Amino acid sequence: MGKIVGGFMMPHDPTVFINPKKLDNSHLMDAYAEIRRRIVALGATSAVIVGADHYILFTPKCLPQILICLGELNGPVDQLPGLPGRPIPHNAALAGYIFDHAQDVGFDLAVARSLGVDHAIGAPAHLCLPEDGSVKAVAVYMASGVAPYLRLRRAYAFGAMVKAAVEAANDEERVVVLGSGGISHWVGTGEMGRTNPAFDRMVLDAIVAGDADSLLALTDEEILREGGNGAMEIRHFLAVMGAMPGGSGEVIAYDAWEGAVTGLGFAQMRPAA
Amino acid sequence: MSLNAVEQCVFDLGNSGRVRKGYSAEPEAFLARYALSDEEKALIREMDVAELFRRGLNPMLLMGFYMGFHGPASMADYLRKMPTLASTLGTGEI
Repeated sequence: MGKIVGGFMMPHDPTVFINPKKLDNSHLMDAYAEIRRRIVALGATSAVIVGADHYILFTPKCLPQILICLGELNGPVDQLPGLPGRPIPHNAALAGYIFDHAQDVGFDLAVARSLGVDHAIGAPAHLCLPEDGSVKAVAVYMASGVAPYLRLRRAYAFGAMVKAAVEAANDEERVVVLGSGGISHWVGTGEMGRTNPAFDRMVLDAIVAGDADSLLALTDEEILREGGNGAMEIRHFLAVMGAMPGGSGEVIAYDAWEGAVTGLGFAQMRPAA
Repeated sequence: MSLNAVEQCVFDLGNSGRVRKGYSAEPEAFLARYALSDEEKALIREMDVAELFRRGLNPMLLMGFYMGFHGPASMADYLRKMPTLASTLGTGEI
């Protein structure tokens, strides 16, 4: 059987890479590198990366609540400095297995046969996975950027479903689940550039405590008011937590960095012993 | 209010330089392809991002729409026009 060996949360704010104010962002790049080091140390073979579409990939004609890519990945299609578009090593077998398991347990997923991912998946794939392709990606998109938003509980349940699928697999996959998203940030609204460190701290405290319930108790309006429309991405963190019930977390780095527009949190979740 | 048609039109304009070029050449003919009221066509023609946001359009989409026409240096101008997210909450229309 396979095993979930860990989880990580990290931001994907484009301004970290564009760095328009030309500030020192080395501590943030170091945090991505630290996640990569930890993924290697865990002996991971695959990474399920959960991100949000930013109205780049999907259109008003089709807005999936949860989408899994069954085949080849490339990107990011919205190339950023240090993040050139290129093929991303992927694990089609694991993606197919998760999809089949989801079908068996009544969890309907949209699929892409292949996908050019945006920076939500591209940033962690390039910066957190080993460059030798030894940890293969499975890309998952949740409706966290465009309404109608995925229910928080559904995001958590998705993580639990992935855990069950991995454990039911016949191979020896060692899987990490990556939740890609900023904490507080406002994208395209009048508040853009503001962060809310108190909200960020509340989210990170919940991750450290493995306390999914306090995040699941939030309403969308509370998240939008306190964390902005970008904070709807905490759904991806809940997916990680759902894959590690009873687990606990550690903050690797946090900065409401003035060069970016996001509360930038880097964290690790460890499965329950 | 055909919000979904407005959203599709703004999406199309925001995501393709080729589409923007076609719109700029013949705006009325372009807008006529969508199920839009005259008022909605005017909001798009005038790039009234503030009112489009108040009516429920996604702000990420509006940002791309505005900057697609005005270039990346127009971000500050765009943000000056935009209402806060907080001002739209409490309406039950998340």
